[in-house]
Amino acid sequence: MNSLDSRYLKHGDTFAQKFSQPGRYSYSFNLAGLYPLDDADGRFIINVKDSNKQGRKQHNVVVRQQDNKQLVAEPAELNIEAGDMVMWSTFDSATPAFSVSGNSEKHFFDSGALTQEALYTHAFGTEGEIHWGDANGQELAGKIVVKMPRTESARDMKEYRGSLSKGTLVVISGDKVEPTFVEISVGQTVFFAVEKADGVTITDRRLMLKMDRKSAQ
Amino acid sequence: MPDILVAADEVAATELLHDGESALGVITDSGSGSLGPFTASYTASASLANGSVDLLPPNIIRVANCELRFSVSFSFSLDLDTILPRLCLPRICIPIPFFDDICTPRICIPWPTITVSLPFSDVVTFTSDFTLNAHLDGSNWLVDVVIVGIPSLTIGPASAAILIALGFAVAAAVAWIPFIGPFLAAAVAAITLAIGVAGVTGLLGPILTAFVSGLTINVYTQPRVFEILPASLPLDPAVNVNLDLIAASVSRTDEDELILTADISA
Repeated sequence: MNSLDSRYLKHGDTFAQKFSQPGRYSYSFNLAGLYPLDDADGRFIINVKDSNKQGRKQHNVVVRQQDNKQLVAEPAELNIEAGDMVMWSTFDSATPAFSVSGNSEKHFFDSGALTQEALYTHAFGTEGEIHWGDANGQELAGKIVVKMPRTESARDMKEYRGSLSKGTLVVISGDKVEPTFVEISVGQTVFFAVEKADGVTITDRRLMLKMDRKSAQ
Repeated sequence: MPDILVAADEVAATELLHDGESALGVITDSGSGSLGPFTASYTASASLANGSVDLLPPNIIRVANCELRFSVSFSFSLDLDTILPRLCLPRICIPIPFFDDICTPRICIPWPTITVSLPFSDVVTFTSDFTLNAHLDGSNWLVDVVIVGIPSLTIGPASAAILIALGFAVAAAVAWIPFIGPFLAAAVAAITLAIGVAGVTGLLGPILTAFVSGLTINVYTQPRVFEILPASLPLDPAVNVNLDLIAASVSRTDEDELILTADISA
């Protein structure tokens, strides 16, 4: 299912974290529906060294499933500079949904609870109206309308393919969301940039209802 | 000169035929075959109904406008990756408040293999010649009409209707696939074009032909030992005759008739 939920990253989603503070961060992947693994399992490393450099760099980590079992990061260890961003994504649609969480001695990051300078992107694969919120209980709300593009002619199709390279930005800061309403076409990507928040998720409210019902049972 | 002679005109012969069709019941078949470029599995059932008899001496029974009522259920898998153009979401770069320009990777969407199932029912009519076959089967004499050759079934309209229904079935089968929406019409068109009416006819034709090829309809059954007087007293047993030979033919007297003749012995 092509669902909007930053807790469960899937093919078509990305999660990125800015590392502003130097340190050695170890992190691991948690499979959806499972309890987080303990710190000893944080076997992937990001070494962040202090830097005064102006230009900030993006680093990409590919997540893939090894031997139909555990998820692995490629590269498994990264050396970056403070202020750089690391983006995780998977290229295999068979990779199970996962979250990324890790910490250094003083700092932590978690795609399942976005705190600061984190990014979640989602490519919307089906049309419809999505009301999203925070599954962790903050008062965040937004609405995304995904429309079917016109694809009746070759020109329409060309325009549509061109439109896929345009991203839409939604910024979350505290309990503020800007913009709260977004209209896009099927296949387009929305970037949810969390400047500062109290461990939030970007989750389709229908999934939150399902979770609530499950907990009630 | 036969001992017994029974005659049935075309109206009576038509009634015998309809009784035979009912007794034949529903015939079923299953298997697999080519549906255009795809391999489809199918289950099919058919029954015969209606039709009018035209007796043609010396030995032909022509059944006109006989209905073959059929239900067929196709199922086939197709790898959409071989049909649809590859969709890759391009690399997207945008500035965000805390980073100058962040870029998503290029993400290619693999199209899945889907299974399309389609139940379909229709009626085709045919006209065909049958010949008579009277034979002893165990303790019964049977008179069957046996199809001569393979009738031509007009399945073009049914095939066209199936192709349209297939289009809807394909659309329903792929509608759930993320990102396919803008390509849905192209997907349905590509699949139905690849199959075509010829593809459906190529599969449906042999299925339906198998139902009528060698078709035998029993129109008359008679026990070989035929009781003509029941037992009335302990010393007065039943009187039976043996039907030693039954023959069937189409003859012309004042009108065309189906004639059954029997030789008997005590």
